[in-house]
Formats: sequence, C-alpha cells, structure tokens
Amino acid sequence: MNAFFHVYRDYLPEWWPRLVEAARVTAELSSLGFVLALVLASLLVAMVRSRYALLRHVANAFIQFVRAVPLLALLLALYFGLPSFGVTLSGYWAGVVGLGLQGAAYVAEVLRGGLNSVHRGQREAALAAGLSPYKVFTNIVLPQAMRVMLPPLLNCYVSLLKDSSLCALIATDELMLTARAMSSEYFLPLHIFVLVGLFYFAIAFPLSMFSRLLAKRLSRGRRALGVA
Amino acid sequence: MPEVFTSILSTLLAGAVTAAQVAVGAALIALVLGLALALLTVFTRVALVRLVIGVYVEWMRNVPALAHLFVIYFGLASVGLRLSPKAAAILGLGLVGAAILCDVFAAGMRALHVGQREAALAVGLSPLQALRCIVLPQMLRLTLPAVGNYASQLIKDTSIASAIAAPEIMFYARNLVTSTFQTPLIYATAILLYASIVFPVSWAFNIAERRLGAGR
Amino acid sequence: MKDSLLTVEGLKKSYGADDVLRGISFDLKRGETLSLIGPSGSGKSTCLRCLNFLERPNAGEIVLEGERIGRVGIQGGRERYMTDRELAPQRREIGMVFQLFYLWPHLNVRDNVALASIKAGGMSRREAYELAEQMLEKVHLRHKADEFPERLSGGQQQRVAIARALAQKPKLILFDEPTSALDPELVGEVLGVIRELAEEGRSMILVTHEIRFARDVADRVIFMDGGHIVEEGAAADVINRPQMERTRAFLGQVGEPSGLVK
Repeated sequence: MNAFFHVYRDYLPEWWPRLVEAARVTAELSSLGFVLALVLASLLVAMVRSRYALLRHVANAFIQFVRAVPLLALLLALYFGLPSFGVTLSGYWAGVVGLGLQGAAYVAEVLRGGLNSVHRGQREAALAAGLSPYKVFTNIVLPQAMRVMLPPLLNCYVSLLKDSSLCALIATDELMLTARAMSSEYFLPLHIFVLVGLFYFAIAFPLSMFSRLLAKRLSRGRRALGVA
Repeated sequence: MPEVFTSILSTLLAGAVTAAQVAVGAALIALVLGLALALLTVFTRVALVRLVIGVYVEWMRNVPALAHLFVIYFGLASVGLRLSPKAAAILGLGLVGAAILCDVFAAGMRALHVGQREAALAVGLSPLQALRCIVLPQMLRLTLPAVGNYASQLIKDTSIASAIAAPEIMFYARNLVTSTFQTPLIYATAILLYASIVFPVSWAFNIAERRLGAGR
Repeated sequence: MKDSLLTVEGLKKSYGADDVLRGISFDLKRGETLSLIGPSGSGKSTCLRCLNFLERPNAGEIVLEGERIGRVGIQGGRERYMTDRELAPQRREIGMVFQLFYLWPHLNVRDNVALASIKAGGMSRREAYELAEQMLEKVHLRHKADEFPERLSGGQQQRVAIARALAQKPKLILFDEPTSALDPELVGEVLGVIRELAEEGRSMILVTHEIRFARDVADRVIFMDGGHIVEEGAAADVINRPQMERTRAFLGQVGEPSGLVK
C-alpha cells in the first residue's frame, strides 16, 4: 500500500506543472464550448418559439438529431471529415465547435424549461401594465427564468468539462491527452489516470455541489412566494 | 457510390454488434448495482454506508467516463489484471451507470410520499412486501423517463470504448478512414447508424412512458 | 377491565425536546366506539399512530386482547422494540384509515383492498377478491372495483380506504381525522359509513374534528390537550355538559354550546 503512495511522492513535482497547464487548457476549451453552446441555444430557443413553422421544425430537428449522435462521432467528423471540404480545424477548435454544437442541444432544453416555468399570468400582467414585449422579457420573464435555469446550466457546464476529455482523441493538448502521453512515458498508467481523475473531480465536484445548493436555495424562495 | 456506401455500412454494422453487447452488459450492471445502492442508501440507518455510497457516486459522476475506462483497461493491466477491451468497457460503463441510476432510483423512492409505505405497513405487509408491491412499482414508473435518458446516453457512450480499442462502430470507422479515404462518407454513415439505433430506443421509452402514465 | 379489548397505560412520546404525549392511559371495551377530540397539537394523532407503532412511544404499555404490542423481551429481563417485520402480524389485527387515504395509485380499487389479504393474510386470489368485493359492498362502492384511485372523488377514495382496513378483519379500527382532507359536501358519505360500522358494534377509535358526529356516534369521548387527557366520559356527557374549564373553552371555540341536550 505504501509503495503506491511513494510513487506520488517521487513523481508529483514533475507531474504537477504539466497537469496544471493541461487543466487550464481543459477549462479554457470547455468554457469556450459552453459560450458557443449558450449562443447557439439562445438562437435555437428563439426559433422554437417563433411563429414560423419552418423555423420551429428546423430547430427541433437539429436538437433531436444532435441528441441522437455521440459526441465522439461529431468530433471525429469535424476534425477528420471537414478537411475534405476545405475547412481544416485544429484539434482545439474542432473540440470547441463539437462541444458547442452538442452543448447547444442540451442547453436549449434548459432554456426552454426555464422560460416555460414562468407563469403566463406574469407576462399578461406586465403587458396589461403597458410594458413593451421586449421590456416584459428582460424585466419580468428572464429574471424569473434565470432562477430555474441556473442550476441546470451549471450541470451542463460540468458535463461539457467531462466531455472535453474526448478531445484527447482528436489530438487536443488537454488534460486527458497529457495523461495518456505521461502514462506511456512513465509506465505508470494506474497512478497517472487516478491522479487525472482527481483533477477532474477537483474542478467538477465543487461546481456540482454548488449547483445543488443553488437549486435548494432557489426553490425555497419560490415556495415561500407561493409561486412554485 | 452506392456500393461504397453499402460496404462501409456492412463494416460498421460489425461494430454495431459489439456496441450492442457493451451497452447491454453495462446496462445490466448499472440496473442491478444501481438499484442495490439506491435501496441501501435510502433505507439504511448506518450513516457510514450512505457516506461510502455517496463517495462512490460522486467519484463516478464527476470524473469523465474516458478516465474510468483508462484506469480499468490500462491501470489494472499494469498491476496484473488484464481485461479485454470489451470487458473493460462493460465494467467501466456499468460502474458509471450504476452511479447515475443510484441517484435516479434514490430520488424516485424519496419522491414517493411516505404515507404510501406507511399504509402498506399498517395493513400488515412486511417491509419487504411493502417494497416489492408498493414502493418499487411506483418508483419504476416515476423514474422511467430518466432511465430512458440513461439508455440513450449509454448507447452513445459505447463510442468511447473505441479509445481502448474495443471493436465497435467508431473503431471500425477510424480504421476505414485510414484505408479508404472516404472520410466524410464514413463518418456520416457512422453518425446515421447511431441515430438509427438511438431514435427507436427513445421512441420505445416514450411509448412505455405514455402507457404507464409515467413521470407522475 | 376484564372485557377490555385494548388497554393503554402511561403512553409517552417526545420528539427531541417536544413532549407530545405526557402519559396517556385509557382502555377500550369490545364493541365500543371511542372518540378522541382536542385542539391541533394536543397529541391525538400521535397517540393513535403509537397504537400500531407507526410511531415508537418512549414509554408506556399497549395491550390488545392480552397481547403486548410492539415490544419483545430479551435476555436479562430487558426488552426492545419490534422491527417492522415482527410488527406485521400485530398490525394485521389493527386497521387504520389515514387522513390522506394513501390508496396505492398503481393498483385498482379491488387490488387495493385485496392486496394485504393475499400477501399477508394467506388467502388465495379468489378468496381475497371475494372478500374485497364484500367489503366494497359495505362501503357502497362495489361498482367501482375496477377503477383506479385517481378517478374517484375524495369521499370515494376514503371509503375504499375503509374497505381496505375492513378486509383485514381487524379487532380494532383506528380513524385518523378521516374527513379533514375532504371537501365539505363529501364528508357526509364517509361519516355515514363510519356510523354504520359503529352501529354494527365494531371496536373503533376515532380522531376527529367533527364534534357533533362524535357526540352522536361515539360511546365515549376523550378530550386531550397538551399531551394529557383532560376529561373523559360518555360522549353526550362530555360534549353537552363538560366539567373542565379547558374542555368548555375548546368546545365553545368549536361552536358547540354547552348545556344543550340532543
């Protein structure tokens, strides 16, 4: 047992800086992907709620399709397939686009749920008071929807973080690829992959916990108001 | 063109068989282990048990599946336990699934009003009978949507097993690319193949949900 | 004391620092209908739930027809609480009707009533269904046997719950505020069934806010407040001519003029 931990004591100083740098890349990659997902999802939700049937159908079809496809297939298609059409993305950017596309489908569901959770009476009362639809949305609907959307959005981010590990398979220099490289260099796969698992855990777990806490706090408030 | 497509498809279908095996194997582990853990965590009076299960679930859920597969496939091999890629994939995805389903089933049981179980005990059923006749049937109905989501996700996650050389769809796809250079067509076919498996599965769950009035 | 069906002695129950029951003693004769009345928080429901050990009392003895409920002796003359599994046979002897009915939504009405007979009563499915339909007939709901609970009104659901308890062929039936969750116009049908059971000579303990009903149907009434028994006696006596100040205050608040004879 002790021998197991000795390995860490001996190698951690060398491993640590490499892993921290790789973790930074992972966080950056995930965050960019998440931002892209938010932007795309907002567009999708606008389309889904629009008056034009065509837009609704296109948006829904996109969401359904993306949710039926594995992220890895998407990433490989983007990285290896696009060059045939003249577009060559680096592993990093193929990763951002892939994460953004898949993320958009799930974030869109969260946004839709959040907006639907605001009772239509709220909107009607605001319109009756003379507010323009735009003001109604920004002052009445969106703030209330945020409370419902925030925890699931955090969860989406955590998912994206975990999924970024797949970018290792398209040569992106993030945490998992670094781990793979290191494990062949040092012939210590067990120690390295467990350590890398801890890195992911250290980032993802606090976020998950925070999301759960937030959800509890926010639902308590709503119940007190008799809104929920 | 059509012959190229059919030859690609037939190669990928061999991979689909492996993917199905991995999915079924992992699902079995996930369902049995997940239910057992959920029952333990909801009904035990020993805080330590809840803590241990909690640690397991959080570890499995906050660390990427790819890392778990690498630990099982490469890591265990380095200490003498050599698993085949398929077995490692089934074990890895099964353990992760068990953590997910444990959360799902535990939440389902807790959502059931405590009065349901009380009425069962009051009428003279033993705790085990109350579980079998009253708690579990209702919980399964309640959690069907979440289990359906898990099933779809699992089918997609089998693609990760290609990273440990399990002969499933993406593995064959990547090999094909290096030998035939029909890259876009190959990946498009692979994507369509996944979609054609996932859609029916989701649809089947939707029908089951509607029939049983699930999610209430 | 000899023809007492149920004897309760020194029942105490606390939740942390909160003493809900502070020493309750009473007995119930065979065929008697006893009503527990009192303000919210007086401990009436808790007392009822202790009788079939859905709550574990901290102290006190509960004896049903000579058998001690809920506790077994172990080595050294000490004793311990029974587990739920050990309690099951004893709970068969005691029927309970809950305020929120707790019918099982995934089973139809007949199965709700018959389930326990099959699983815990050792009956065959046919026997159990026959019994279920007889009990449903008693509560005037035999025609709804194939329906599911969600399609029934509150009053109908509660009557099915009563049939479910009757199917246990219990020695004693406990009612925990059976009409408190019902719309006013549905209360009557449930009270009607309870009245019929009382007239049949069933042994029952009824916790209720329906004071007039308690006066008309119960043989004896116990008024509880703050975890104690304040007053007990014949139903008409306690409700029409309360002796204790607190009883008078409670009944006055509930709108029962004292000194009024039926």
